[in-house]
Amino acid sequence: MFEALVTGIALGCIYGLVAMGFAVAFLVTRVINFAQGQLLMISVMVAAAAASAGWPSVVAMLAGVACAAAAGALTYVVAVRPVLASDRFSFGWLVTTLGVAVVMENVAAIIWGPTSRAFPLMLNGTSAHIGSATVSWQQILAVLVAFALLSAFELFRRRSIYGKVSMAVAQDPEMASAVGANTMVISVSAFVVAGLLAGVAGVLVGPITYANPYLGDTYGIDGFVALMMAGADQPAGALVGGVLLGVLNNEANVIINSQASAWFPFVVVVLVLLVCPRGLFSGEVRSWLRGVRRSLVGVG
Amino acid sequence: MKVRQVTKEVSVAIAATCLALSGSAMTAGASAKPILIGGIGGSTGAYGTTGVATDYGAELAVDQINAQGGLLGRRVVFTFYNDGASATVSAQRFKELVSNGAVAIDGSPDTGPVTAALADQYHIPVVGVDDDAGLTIYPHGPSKPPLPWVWATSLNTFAYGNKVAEYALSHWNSCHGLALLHDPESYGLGGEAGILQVLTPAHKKLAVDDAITEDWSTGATVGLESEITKIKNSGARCVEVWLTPQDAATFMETMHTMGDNFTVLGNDEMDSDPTFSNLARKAGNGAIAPILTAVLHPDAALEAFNKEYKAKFHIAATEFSYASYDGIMILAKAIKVAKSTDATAIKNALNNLKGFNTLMGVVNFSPQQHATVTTKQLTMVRYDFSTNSWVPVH
Repeated sequence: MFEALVTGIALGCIYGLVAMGFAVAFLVTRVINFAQGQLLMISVMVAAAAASAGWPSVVAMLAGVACAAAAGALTYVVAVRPVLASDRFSFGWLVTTLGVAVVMENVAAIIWGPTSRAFPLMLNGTSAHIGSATVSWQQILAVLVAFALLSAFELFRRRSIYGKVSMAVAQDPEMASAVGANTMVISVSAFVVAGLLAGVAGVLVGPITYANPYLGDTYGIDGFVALMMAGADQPAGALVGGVLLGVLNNEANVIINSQASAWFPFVVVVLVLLVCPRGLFSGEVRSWLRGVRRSLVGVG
Repeated sequence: MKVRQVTKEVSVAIAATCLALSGSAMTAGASAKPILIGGIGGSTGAYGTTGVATDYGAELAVDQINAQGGLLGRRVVFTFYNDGASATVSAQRFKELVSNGAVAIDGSPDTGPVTAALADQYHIPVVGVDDDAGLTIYPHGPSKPPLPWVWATSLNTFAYGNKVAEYALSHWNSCHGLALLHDPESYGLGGEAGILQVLTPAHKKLAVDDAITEDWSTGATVGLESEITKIKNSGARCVEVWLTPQDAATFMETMHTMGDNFTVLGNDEMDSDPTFSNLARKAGNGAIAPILTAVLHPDAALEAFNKEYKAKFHIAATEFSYASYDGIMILAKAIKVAKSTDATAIKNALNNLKGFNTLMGVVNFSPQQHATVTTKQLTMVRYDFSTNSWVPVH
C-alpha cells in the first residue's frame, strides 16, 4: 500500500501538471482547452523523434517542451481567439479546441505512424528506496519538478507585474484593456504556459509510457478530471487534485482489485462534485473551512 | 412487294442481331461482376500494425488470385476498412460490406468478437484474422463447438497459452510457480484459458492471476509496480505477461528498476513485430515467447511471400500478414470447391477442407475445428538484445 501511495503521488504529479495547464488557461481566458492532452503528446513525440534522430536527450526534451508551448499558442490563435472575438461569451471554443485536438492527433499519427516509439530512458532505469517502497528516480524527478513549477508559477502570479496584469485580464478583460493591458498577449501567454506545463509533463512521463500519438486522450481526460476535482480556476489545487487522482488510481488497484483504477477514482470525483460542485479548493469550501476553524477556536 | 419483303427481312435480321448483342452484353455484364471480399481491422492505435498487416496480406492474396484469372471467372475485389479498434465502427463497416454484397469478411484482429457475432447473425463467413481465435470463436471453451460461421487463421490464444504453460510446467522447479497478468478481454481470457488447459490437469495453480485494464486504443501504459510487488510476494519466479507489447515492455523495464528479475513469458504480440523489442530494448533481453515454427524456419513459399510483400508494401511482413493471406487463400479454395459464392455452400466447403497447404502449415477444418494454429506449430524463443533477434530456447 505504501508503495502504491508513493508511486501514485508521482503519477498524480503528471496528471496535476496537465490539470495545472488547464487551470492556467482557464484562469486567464475563461476557456478550457480540450487540446491540453495533445500538447503533452506533441512534447513526447517531438522529443522521441529528435532523440532517435541523434539529438542529445536533454536537447531533444527541451525541443519537445518548446514545441508544446508553441502549439499552445497556436491553439489560442486558431481555435479560441476567433470565437471570443465574435462573441466573448460564446462556448464555441468547446468545439474548436476539440477539433484542434483531433487534428493534432491525426497529424502526429501521419507524421510518426500510429504505433509506440521508444523514448530516452532518462532516470527510469535507476531506483531509490523510500521506506519499504522502491521508486524510480524518474518518478522522484516528476514530483520535484511538479512542485518546483507550481512554486514558480505562484510566485510569478502573485509577485510579478505580469502576473498581476494577467489576473486583471482574467477578472475583466475590457477594463484591463482600457488601462493599457495587451489582452491578446496575456491570453496567448497563458496558453503558452499551459503548453509548457503539458510539455514538461510529457517529457517526465515519456520514459514510462513511450511515445504514442494517441497518448493525449488518456492524459487529457485524467488532467481534466483532476481539474474538476480541484476547481477549474485553481492551478495549485489542480496539482493537488492530480496527486489525489494518482493516489486513488494506484490504491484502488491494490485494495479493491487490479482493474479498479478504471472506475473507482471517477466514483470519487462524482461524489466530490456532488458535495462541492465548484471543486475541493473553491471559495465555498475555503469559507466553510474558515468557519469550522473559527468555531473550533471559539470552542477552544 | 419485293421491296416490302426485303424491308421485312432486313428488319427481322436487325432485330435478331440486336437481341443477340444484348444477350451477350448481359452475359458479359453478369460474368464481369466482381466478387467482393471485405476486410476489417484496426490500422491505427496500439495495434495499428496488426490491422495494416491484415490488410496487406489479404491484398497480396487477392492480387495473386486475380493474376490467375480470378474466381469462377470473376475478378476478386478486396475492400478494407479501419475500425480503429472500435466495436461500433466495426459493426457499421461489417453491415456496410454485407449490404454491398461481400461474400465473406476477413477480420477483425481488434474487434473479433463483434465480427464473429455478426457472422452468426448475418450468416456470412468470416475467414482469416479474427481477433485471437481462442474464446472469440470458441466462446464456451476449447472443448465446445465453435461459432458456426467463423474460421480463424489468427494466432490462436489457446495454442499460445498451451505452449507457455508447457514451458512453465517443464521448468516448474526453477519457476516456483507461474504468475499471469492479462487483459480482461477475450484475448487475455483466451490466453488464460489456454494456460489453465495445461496447468489444471497437472494439478498446478497460478500464483497470481490478475486482469489489467489496458488502454488499447491509445497505447498508454499503466503503472505495474503494485503487480510486480504482488508477484514477488507470491514467490513465483516466472510471469506470463499477456498484455500489449507496450505494457510488456514497461513491465520489463519496471521490473528491472525495482531490482527484480523474473523469467518473463510473453504472448504472440511480443514477437510478431518489432514493437516490443524496439521499446524494451536492453530491458527486454531474455523475454521468452512462442512463435510460429514456420516463421522461425521459413520455407521457399514463405521466403517468396516475404520478398513479394516487401517489394509491394516496403515494410516487412508479420505473422498477421501470413494469417490474413492464408485466410483469403482458404476462402478462395472453398469458393472453387463449392463452385459458388453462396454463403452456405462456402460454409460447407470450409468445414470439409482437408490437407490444404498454407504459409503457416497444413490446414484441416471440420465442424469442430475452426482454428488453424495448434501447439505443434509453435516454438519457444528468447529475445537476444545483442543480436536484436529471437532465438530458439533449448
